[in-house]
Amino acid sequence: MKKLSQIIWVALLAFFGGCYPGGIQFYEDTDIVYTTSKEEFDFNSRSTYAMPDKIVIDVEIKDGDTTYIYMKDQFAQPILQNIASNLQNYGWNRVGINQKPDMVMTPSATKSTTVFYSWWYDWWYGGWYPGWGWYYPPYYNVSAYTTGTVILNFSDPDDTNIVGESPTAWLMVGNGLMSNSNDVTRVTKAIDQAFVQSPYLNTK
Amino acid sequence: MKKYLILTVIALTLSLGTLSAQSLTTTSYSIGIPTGNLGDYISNVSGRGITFDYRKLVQPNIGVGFYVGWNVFYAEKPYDTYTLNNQSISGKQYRYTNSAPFMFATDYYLKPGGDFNPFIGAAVGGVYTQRATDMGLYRWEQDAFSFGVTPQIGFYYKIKTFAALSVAAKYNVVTKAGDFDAGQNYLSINIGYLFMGN
Repeated sequence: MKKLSQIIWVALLAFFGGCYPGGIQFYEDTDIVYTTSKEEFDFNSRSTYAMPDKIVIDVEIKDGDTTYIYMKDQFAQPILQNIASNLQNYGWNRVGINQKPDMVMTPSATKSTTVFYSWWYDWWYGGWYPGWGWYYPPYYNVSAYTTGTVILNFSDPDDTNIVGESPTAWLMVGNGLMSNSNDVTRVTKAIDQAFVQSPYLNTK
Repeated sequence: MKKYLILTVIALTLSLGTLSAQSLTTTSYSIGIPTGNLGDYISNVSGRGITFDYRKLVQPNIGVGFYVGWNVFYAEKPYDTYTLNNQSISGKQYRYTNSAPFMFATDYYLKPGGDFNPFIGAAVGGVYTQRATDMGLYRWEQDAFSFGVTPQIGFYYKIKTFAALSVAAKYNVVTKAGDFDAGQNYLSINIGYLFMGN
């Protein structure tokens, strides 16, 4: 009976070890698109917007000077074109920043790397030879993931607070696990989805 | 005379067998069928579960003891958009619910001592439910320790002197508590190995 119970326990361990539910399998499975808008903001009464031709990915502050770091054009241009075409489809006209646009679209992107790092010591006894003794070789276990985030901020430049900041009228945050393939279509698909789930931006 | 002696020995052996079966211990593979709010959240039937039942026979036809179990429900939801007020979020969702009942239980056996022994019973106690929703790299977790009632119906069929195949349907009524505003009920079909001990 003892043997039988052992077999049952081994079978149970194998059952639960092997049948644990699945989850994320591909980088794309981690992509999410979040949008929100300022309540009661009237997008329909506005029709023009301005957008820079670069995407900020970092800010460096050195000796009091602020320097923006931009995304490479090969990635930034398809993203900017995608934003522009989505806004055009919703009836928005792009104008220069000096032409008093009703709205300003400011795209930015960030990446963040999270590193899991754990280590432990193991040891073995090397014997009583000169120069030998207890020996502690380290074992390391390091893993990391990098997430990419795209942020679109749509705001009214005339709607400013006391220090000249415009509150966000529409915000999109796209986030996902970054792969090494630099697949820009994941970003453009996320932006397309952001407009699909924000029909109130449609001024047509 | 010899004939009577053999019959007496057989009868005595059988009665000893019945008398010595003073406890029933069942380990079962459990298939979970979610209902109600749990079914709305995860509709998939779960093949990941285990239950463990112990009954002390206080009468040949009445067993009292406990019931513990673990059922894991899982569903992968396709890419979709979820909207709440002025906020929307799109992505794939991976939904998990773990349910673990810990209950006092009693069963009534309709044919004690028989090879085929149907039973009905009920268990009362607590159920720990943990729900996790993964979306992107984020996880939302809810959990509760709820009051639970589990009526059950089933039978066991003797395959050896002290062993039987057990089949039971348990309906786990898990009341709303903690992070849940509705009960997390499910039916489980349990197929197991029953050991009759002293």
